[in-house]
Amino acid sequence: MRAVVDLPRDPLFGPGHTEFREQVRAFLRAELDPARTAVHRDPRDLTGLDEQFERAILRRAGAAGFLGISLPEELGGGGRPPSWDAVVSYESAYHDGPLIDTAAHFLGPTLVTFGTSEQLDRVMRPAIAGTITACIAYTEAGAGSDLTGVATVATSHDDGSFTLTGEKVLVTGAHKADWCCTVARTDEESTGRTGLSMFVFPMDTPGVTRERVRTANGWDLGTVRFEQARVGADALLGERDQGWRTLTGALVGERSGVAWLGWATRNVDALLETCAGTRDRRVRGELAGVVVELFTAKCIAARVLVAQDAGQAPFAEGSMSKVKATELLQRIARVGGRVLGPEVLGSASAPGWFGRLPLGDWFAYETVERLHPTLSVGTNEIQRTTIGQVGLGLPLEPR
Amino acid sequence: MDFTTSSEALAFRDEVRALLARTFTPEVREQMHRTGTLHNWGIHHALGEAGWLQQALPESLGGGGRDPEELAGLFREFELAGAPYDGISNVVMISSVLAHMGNEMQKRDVLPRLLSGDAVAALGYSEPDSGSDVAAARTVATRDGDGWRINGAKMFTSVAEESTWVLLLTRTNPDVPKHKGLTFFLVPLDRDGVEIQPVFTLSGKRTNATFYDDVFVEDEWRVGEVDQGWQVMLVALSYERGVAGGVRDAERLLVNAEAYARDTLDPDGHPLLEQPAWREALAQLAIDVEVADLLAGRAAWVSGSGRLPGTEGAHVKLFATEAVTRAANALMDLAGPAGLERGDPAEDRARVFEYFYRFAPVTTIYGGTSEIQRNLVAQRGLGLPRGR
Amino acid sequence: MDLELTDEQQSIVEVFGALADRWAPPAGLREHEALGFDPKVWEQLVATGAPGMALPEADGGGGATLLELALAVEALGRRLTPAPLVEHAVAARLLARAGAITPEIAEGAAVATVALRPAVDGRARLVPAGAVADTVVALAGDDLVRVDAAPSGIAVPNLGDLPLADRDLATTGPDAVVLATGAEARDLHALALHEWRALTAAALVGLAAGALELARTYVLEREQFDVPIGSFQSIQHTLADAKVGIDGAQLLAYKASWAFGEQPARAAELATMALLFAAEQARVTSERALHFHGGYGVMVEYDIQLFYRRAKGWALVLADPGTELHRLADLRYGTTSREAGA
Repeated sequence: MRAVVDLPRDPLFGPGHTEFREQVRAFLRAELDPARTAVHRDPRDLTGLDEQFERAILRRAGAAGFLGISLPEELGGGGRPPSWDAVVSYESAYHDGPLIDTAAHFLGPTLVTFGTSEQLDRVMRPAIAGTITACIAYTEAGAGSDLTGVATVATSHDDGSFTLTGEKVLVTGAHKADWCCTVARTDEESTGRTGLSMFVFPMDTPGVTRERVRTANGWDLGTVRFEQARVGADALLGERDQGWRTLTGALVGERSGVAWLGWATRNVDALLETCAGTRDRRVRGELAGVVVELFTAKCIAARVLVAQDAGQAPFAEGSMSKVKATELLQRIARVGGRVLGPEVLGSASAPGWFGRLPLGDWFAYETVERLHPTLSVGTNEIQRTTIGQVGLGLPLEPR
Repeated sequence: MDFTTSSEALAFRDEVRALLARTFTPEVREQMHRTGTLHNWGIHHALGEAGWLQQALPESLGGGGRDPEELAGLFREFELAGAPYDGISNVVMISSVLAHMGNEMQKRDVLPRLLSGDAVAALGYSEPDSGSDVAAARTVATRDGDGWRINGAKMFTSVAEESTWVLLLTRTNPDVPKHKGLTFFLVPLDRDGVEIQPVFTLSGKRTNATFYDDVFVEDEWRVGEVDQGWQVMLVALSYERGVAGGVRDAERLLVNAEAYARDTLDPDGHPLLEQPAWREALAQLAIDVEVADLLAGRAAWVSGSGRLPGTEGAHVKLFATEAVTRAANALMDLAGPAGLERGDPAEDRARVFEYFYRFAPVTTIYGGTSEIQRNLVAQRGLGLPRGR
Repeated sequence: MDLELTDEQQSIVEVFGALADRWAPPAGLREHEALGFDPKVWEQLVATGAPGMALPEADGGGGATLLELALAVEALGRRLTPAPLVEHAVAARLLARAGAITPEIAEGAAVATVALRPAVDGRARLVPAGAVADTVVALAGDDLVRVDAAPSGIAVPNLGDLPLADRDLATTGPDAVVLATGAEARDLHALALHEWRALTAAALVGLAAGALELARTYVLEREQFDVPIGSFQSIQHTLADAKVGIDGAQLLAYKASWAFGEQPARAAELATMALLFAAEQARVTSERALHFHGGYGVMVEYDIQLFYRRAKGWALVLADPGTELHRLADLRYGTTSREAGA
């Protein structure tokens, strides 16, 4: 597949990343060769791969040092700046690889900041090695955009352990997760932001059950239930009752945003390849439009990466990047529909583009798939509020 | 269900066009562009003499019963011609209010002069600090003997420079919730203390800031009850009768743009109308014009059939003005560098894009901003709860 | 203009609305999701006389106007009723004009459809209702043909769960009839397509209204930050825009349907406009409605994603919007020798 090389320069990564990028790409191409993956498809998983096969790739990625590339060396990581981890996300997305929703991504930064040395040993190291999977279970039926509505309760005991009762919904990868990171109310009298605590514990803890829930594109999210699940004091992540602080820090790190751009680039490249040489001015105009917008989105994301490498936490720019990239993905899906016409009607309920499905089928999938990015990791409405308030200094909404 | 325009409405449109052909001369057009005043006495007197201002009043108020569809047709022809109608629409609204709830003096001394076309009046609602939040008006009227002293300032008091009176929204009670302490007055603009300052806008239209420094009016100039001004406002709105100006701008742009594209050749000698980008933009605008026309027709039908008006007026205002704003940008881009030149579109059609680009922004702001219209549709139309 | 419905029209709205409500998701629709066709719904429609309602009485139909059919189709569209009434009615009217209508089709005992795009090498691709139709009318080369053949009952898996299928058009043999040739064939087909556009526009208006209602209900119930999310301005304004767009699309679909009988010179243009506008409103409304459901919006068990997928499917089966917009320009400005891309 031809990459977009006709732009003056790909603004997302710099010359310092080139060699590492090549390593990651070579790894992914080898691991995800259609001949290999053909017998390992699982359309019910977001990655499109069966669990066993996916775990094997994870282990090898861990062994190659990819998963914790930006985590501290003393903890087993690669010690590189955050932008190196973005390389892994981006290339994984571009190649439809399963290295985005890893335990290292979900848990790494939070553990680095708040984890005990025992947690780092038990969770962080295997996460970096790629020998464990994880899920993050924050959302509840009554707590989506407003996570202060968390109602899951963590009753404390004298020995420092906790009993969790509650239900979490829309959990990515719950069915295959080894570890769970969640947030619950430790101060049972509290409401709102106070009295919350974060926990990390194995999914096979007695009392923890999970159920697969089908999404519109055929892959599953999960519902995770805590039915008097007893976890030890060592499961507490960060300070007790200070979970809101821990959570806010964790959310900033989740999904750096470049994965969206990896998918976007892959889709644009595919359209460019299919339409190469077309003289239809309308099609050319549409494609030119998304190429320009993709470049712009990468410039915004590059700003975020540069700031993160400098040790900053760019809230407003991060939100801008997320909004831009996710809405671009929707635009690309629409352009695909307009360019391909009725071909798009054929559906592929198969995430993972291995074996190169007919492009129309692929864009039918994308038309539905790109609905959730504008919802997840903070809806774009919430992101815009952040941009307005943090980025533009506009006053808080009347509430 | 019937989508044809009634023969009465079609006939009336022909009459309006004929009147405009007589009275909307190049000299009048030139004066309008030069002064920025969207009112012309020659046209206005002719309308008055034809009895159309009288006829614009609903029959229930003693008018001549031109139905909303015909009235819409009048404004349509003015908008399509680019003819000035601010004075006309003010008179239609204010005469309805006076006919409904004016006192004896107002019905005797003011109303006939408005209906004959002899005089016009201005609307004084908006202030520097209150536009969308019109109930927050700060212009104050306090009792003084058997009259009132008025102090304050109004913004966008269009046509005040030609008007005899202004229908002024004032605060008469600061101790109650804001929309319960308002009172309307009809203020003669020749009273001491009234000052009119011209304000020029992006589209070239001239409006005014008006200032009221201890202006005295006798109590007989009060319109409606004290502190009941909000009710008067609702009455004024109900007599809009689904007939607003500003819904035909998109159609005017379309007609002009199509003609331009047909008559202008590209460097290869082909009409611009053959280019795919022009065809797409014009076809899209044609759809929007058709939809705006239907929504406007519905608003007029609801009003004319005696049904209780809901949010039909908000629908058409919101849709038509957003459509012309989209189209103004799209067509400006298509016109390219040639489109940048300023001039009179009546003399050179190619100037229409530059004009519309400057004109379009105000359409989504005046007469209730698009956001206010959306609030109305959401809250009154869809039953969603007020925020805050 | 007069937007008053006659008593008969009002009862059409009510009858078909009630019928659609009985089959509303999740029950009937999901049960037949793979095929997009519920035979029991079709039986109900047959019982009401719907399949032939807009056929001339002389042909065994109900003599209703296309506008009245649009009202019915809109009501059904609101609940995504899985029955190809649009395709069948359009095909039946086409056959009647060609003098080839049969009692079975007039009654709906046999399901008929029209291939929207000309056949290529004897095969019509992605025919709407092609998976369930006993009769297909299509343009094959120079001929307008009617082919009777048992449907596969299996739909090509597709975005909107429509009963789409490719159909072979063997144009020889007892099951194939040439209805017309040359210009007459093209004209008959073109008229049918315009009727399809107007009716599909009406169906999409219904779909959009149904999606908006789901959104409205959800944002009134769903609370975050201690208030119903329907009180947030960004949500209100978006839904307000949707409401305005849907009302406009409804009026345009009605006018287009009305025009075939009352203002035929404008019917093709209005039908093309109506489909373009309704498709866009349905797309935007269903997409925003889904978005306002948050994470639940992408869950299969929630209904809004059904609306979202069909909004694209029902419109795209004819052509992409760009091509349709150019067809509209051609109708307004005459065809041009320059190609869209040249």
